Amino acid sequence: MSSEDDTWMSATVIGIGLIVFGAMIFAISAGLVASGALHSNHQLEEAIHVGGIVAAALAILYGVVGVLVGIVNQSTAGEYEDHGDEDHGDEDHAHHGSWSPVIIAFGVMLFLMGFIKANLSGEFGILAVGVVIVLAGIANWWREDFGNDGVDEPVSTGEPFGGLEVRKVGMWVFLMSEIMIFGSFFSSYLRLRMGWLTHWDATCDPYNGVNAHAAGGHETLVHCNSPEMVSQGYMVVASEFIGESFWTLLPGAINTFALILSSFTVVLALKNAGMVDWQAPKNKFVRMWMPDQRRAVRNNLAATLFLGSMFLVLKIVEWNHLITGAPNFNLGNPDVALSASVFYVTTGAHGFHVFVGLLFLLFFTFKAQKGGWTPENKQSIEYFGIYWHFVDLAWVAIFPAFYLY
Amino acid sequence: MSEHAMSKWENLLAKPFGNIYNFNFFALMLLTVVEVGAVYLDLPKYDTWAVLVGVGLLKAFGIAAWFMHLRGDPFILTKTAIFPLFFVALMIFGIGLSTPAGIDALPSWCSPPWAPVYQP
Repeated sequence: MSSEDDTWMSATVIGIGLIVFGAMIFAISAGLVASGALHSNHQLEEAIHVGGIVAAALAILYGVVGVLVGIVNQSTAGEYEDHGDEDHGDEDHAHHGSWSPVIIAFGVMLFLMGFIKANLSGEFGILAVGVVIVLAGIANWWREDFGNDGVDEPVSTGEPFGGLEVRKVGMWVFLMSEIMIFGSFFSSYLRLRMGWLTHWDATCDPYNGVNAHAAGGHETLVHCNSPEMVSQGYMVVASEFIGESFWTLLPGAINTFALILSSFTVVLALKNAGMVDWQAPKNKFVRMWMPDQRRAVRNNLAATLFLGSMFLVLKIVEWNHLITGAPNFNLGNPDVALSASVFYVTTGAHGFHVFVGLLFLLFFTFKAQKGGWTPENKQSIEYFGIYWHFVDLAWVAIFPAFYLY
Repeated sequence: MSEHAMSKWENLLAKPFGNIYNFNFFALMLLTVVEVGAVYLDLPKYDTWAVLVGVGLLKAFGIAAWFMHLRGDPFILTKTAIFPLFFVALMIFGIGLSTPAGIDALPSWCSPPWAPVYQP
C-alpha cells in the first residue's frame, strides 16, 4: 500500500471514528436526560439534550464527509501528482478551469426557489434537489483541489489591483457584499430599537424578578413584560432574556471567546504552513501541540474546526432557551415579537456563515492530515482566514448590540 | 500572512508577546472582558454605550489590521474594505437613526398586508 493510499485510508478511518464519536455523544446525552439525573436543573437538562443532538449531528456530518473524502480521493489518487512540477506551460493550466462554482451556484438557485416553495406550500422537492446539487458541486471541487500541492496563484494584471493575487482580491470583493448584508441587518435593528421602549429607559424589572438591579434593587418593580408595560409600548429584547443570569449569558460569552481563539488558531495554522525552515517550538507544552510541521498545521485547523462547531452547538442551545423560555420569542407563536425576528435573522445569518466556514475548514483539515499544506500553497489558508476573521468581526458588532445592550 | 514591516508602536506592542498576533489575541480577549464587565457594572446608559462602541471599534481594528493583515497588504485592499462602510453609514444614518414615524409613513405599495401583523 503506497503512502498515497494510506492518506485516503486515514481519512476514511477518521471519518468512521467521527461517526462513532457522534453516535456516542448522542447516546450519552440522551442517556443523561432519560436517567432523570438532571431533573433538578431543567435548563441544564435542556442544554445537554439539545446540545447533544447538535454536537452529534455535526460529528456525524464531519464523519460522512471524511469517509467520502477517503473514497473519492482513493479513486482519483495520483491524478494530480504532477501538480506543482516546474513544467508549467500555459497549456498545463487548462485543467484548472472548474465547473464546480457553476454547479454550486445552480444548486443554490434551486435551493432558494425551493425554500420559498417549501414555505408557501410545504413541498420540499426542489429544495432537496438544490441541496444535492450543491453537495455534488462541493464534492467535485474538493476532488479537484485535494491533490493540488503546487503553486498556481493567478495574479491580477489590470488596475487597480495589479500585482495582487486574484483569489485574494475576489475574497475582499466578496466581503464587501458581506459587510453590506450585515450592515443592513444592523441598521434595521437600530431603526427598530430606536422606536422601542426598552429597559434602558423604563422603570421596570426586565429579569423576571430574579435580578432586579436595573433601577434600584430594593424597589419592587413591575415586570417589563407585564400587560401594563406592554400597553405603554414596552418591547422585550433578546438581551433581557440572555442577561437574565450569569448562566444564560454564558453561552454567548463563551462563543465570543471561542471565535477569537479560533481566529488565532487559523493564524497559527497559516504561520506554520508558511515556514520554509520549520523548527519545533522550544516550550514543552507548545511542542506537544505542534510536534512537527504537518501536525502543527493540522492541529491548529482541527482546533478551529472544534471551536467553530462549539459555537454552533452553544448557539442552538441559546436559541432553544429563548424559544422555549421566552413567551414572545417562540417562532411558532403568531405573536412572535419583532425583536425576536430581527435577533433570529441576524444571529442566524451569522451562524450560517460559521457553518459554511466549517465546511471549508473540514476540507482544509483533511488536506492538512495528508500534509497537503506547504509554503508554496499556504495562500488558500490565508484567504480562508480572511473570511473566518470577518465572521469574528461581524460577531464583534452583534455581541454587544444583541446580547449585552 | 506576511510579517509586514511594522511601525515603532507596533513593535512596542508586540515585543512583550513575541509577535503582533499574540498581542492581538490577548488584547481581544481582554477587551471582551471589559465589554461584559461594563454591562454588569450597571454604569449609566451613555457611559455603557461609549464603552461598548469604543471597545467594539478597537476590536474591529485589531482583527482587520493584524488578523486580516490589512496593515501589511497594499492599501488598495484597505480601500476595498472601507468602501462598503460608506453604504453602511448611509443605512445607519438614513434608516437606523431615522425618525420612528418614518416606517408608518411608507406608501401602501411599500407595506403589503403580510400576516400575521405584529400588534404591540
